[in-house]
Amino acid sequence: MNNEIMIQIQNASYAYDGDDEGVKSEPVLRNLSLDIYRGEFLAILGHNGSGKSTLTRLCNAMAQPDSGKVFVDGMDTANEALEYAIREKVGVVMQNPDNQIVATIVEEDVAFGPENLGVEPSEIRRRVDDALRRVGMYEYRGHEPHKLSGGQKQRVAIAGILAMQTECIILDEPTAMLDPQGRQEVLKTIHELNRDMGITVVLITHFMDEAVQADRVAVMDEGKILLLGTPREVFAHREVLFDSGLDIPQSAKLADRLAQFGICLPGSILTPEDFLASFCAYREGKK
Amino acid sequence: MSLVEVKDLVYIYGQNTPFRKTALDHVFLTLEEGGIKAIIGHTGSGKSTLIQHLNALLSPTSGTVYFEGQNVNESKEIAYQIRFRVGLCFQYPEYQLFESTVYQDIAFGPKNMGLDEKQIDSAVRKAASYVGITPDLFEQSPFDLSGGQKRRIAMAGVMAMEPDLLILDEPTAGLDPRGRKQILSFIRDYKERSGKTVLLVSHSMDDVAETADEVIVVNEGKIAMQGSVREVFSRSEELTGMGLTVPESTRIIERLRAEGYSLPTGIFTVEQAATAIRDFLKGATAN
Repeated sequence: MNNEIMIQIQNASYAYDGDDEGVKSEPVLRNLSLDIYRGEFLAILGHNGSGKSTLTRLCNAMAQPDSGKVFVDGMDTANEALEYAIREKVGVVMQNPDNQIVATIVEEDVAFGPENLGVEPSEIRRRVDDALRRVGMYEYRGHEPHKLSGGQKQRVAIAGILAMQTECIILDEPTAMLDPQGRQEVLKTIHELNRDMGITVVLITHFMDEAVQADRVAVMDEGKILLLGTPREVFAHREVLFDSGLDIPQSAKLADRLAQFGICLPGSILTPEDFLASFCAYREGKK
Repeated sequence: MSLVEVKDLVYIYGQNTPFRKTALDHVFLTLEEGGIKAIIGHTGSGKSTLIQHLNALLSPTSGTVYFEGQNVNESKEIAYQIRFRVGLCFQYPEYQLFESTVYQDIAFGPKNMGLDEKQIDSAVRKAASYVGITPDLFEQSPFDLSGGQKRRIAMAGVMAMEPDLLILDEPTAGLDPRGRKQILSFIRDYKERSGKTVLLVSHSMDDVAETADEVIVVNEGKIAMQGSVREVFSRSEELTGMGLTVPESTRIIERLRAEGYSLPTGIFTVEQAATAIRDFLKGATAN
């Protein structure tokens, strides 16, 4: 992670159109500011209706803020002439894998994006093969997408974004409909893309254990950023998270419960690995 | 007599086509009346095919499904009646709301059962109370409500038929932690107050650990395990091999056991894990 900004959101507010013409509903984003750094893995948490998906729409120019500004790699999303350039930078993967597959063969689906960008056929071939290898789906290139598992479909969707040579991927609850194995496949894939290719990843999720693996966590509530920091910093604010309808990882809950029994394990515990290390240290200290 | 008896059930999709696939492979399953049972299995394991047989939405390629001793596919009339006794609430049921008011939507099932207006009214009120939908919402359009409320209304629509067996397919998918806890507590409440049997299909091992009494594991079109939550989650290696997982608390205890700490097996909630660790530390100090 460096300090170069990939997406800059400055005092953005947004409200959807209301039932009556010319009248807006309650704003879903309120004067929200957030810098997303190039190469970072940012998790966004927030209860249903907190504005997370709207934020996604602003980040790839699907919507413009009513007030405030959004810049993608320095490009103002309000500038219509830059719309395509922005979508080449930022790709979005949605929750339902069945809503984002357009072709009848896996490799054609992945080729759809670069084809629309007018990329040379030989270059498309190279990009599609490379993207499918990156997500571990190359062997399935000739398969029919609808016969794949949910996790496989999501990886094909990710490959479609990679084939456009996108620098940033935003995933809006990509694992909500997946079984445990599908979830692990998708998470492993996006962490590899982030680590090995330096792709900026923004992961919107309801799973606390997914957020723990990020570089930074942003918590949204009422259209604002409520907390922002490393997972350890954010998950230390237990009461704020609970009040906001969120949770903490089970390992952290277990440590808290033990503390109520008077057993105070050292350090901050977010994962089973943390717990194990802390427990062993605690036992050593007691000897 | 058992509530459900599945005998040598085989279901083949695309029989007589090149895409022929055996979804259920000689399944035998007995479900006794009462309690909350959970079916787990990875995507494509056959669990959805199985539950659709329980209320005669699918009819077997071979084998028989009995509900309270009655072959559910004996005649069209019986299959129709069975659908009132085995209520199936699909994944993301909020997308299936269609009436103009909340009340009408919940009343749809009881109306089809041929109940009179007074009975319908009492069924609607009772079902709404199971899921925390208050009468002041009855005249609203379900489409104006939040996602969580819509889901609860859809669930109430099935509960209103007072089915002897209520099947809920992924009732918490896509919900934030608070919404998830709420739905699980409504399900437990429903079981207590109605005394009816509930069957949960879930990818969330935590939901299963917190709610179910009995777990059925489906793998490759067969019943791989059936037993108490404790029994099933004790077999974590086998579950992992089937693309499933165990709750984080179980994983922590297993890691500690692997380190040589003598903790008990069969732990699957934070509370159990905390108690076991406390007792272990007490014992360790005493020695």
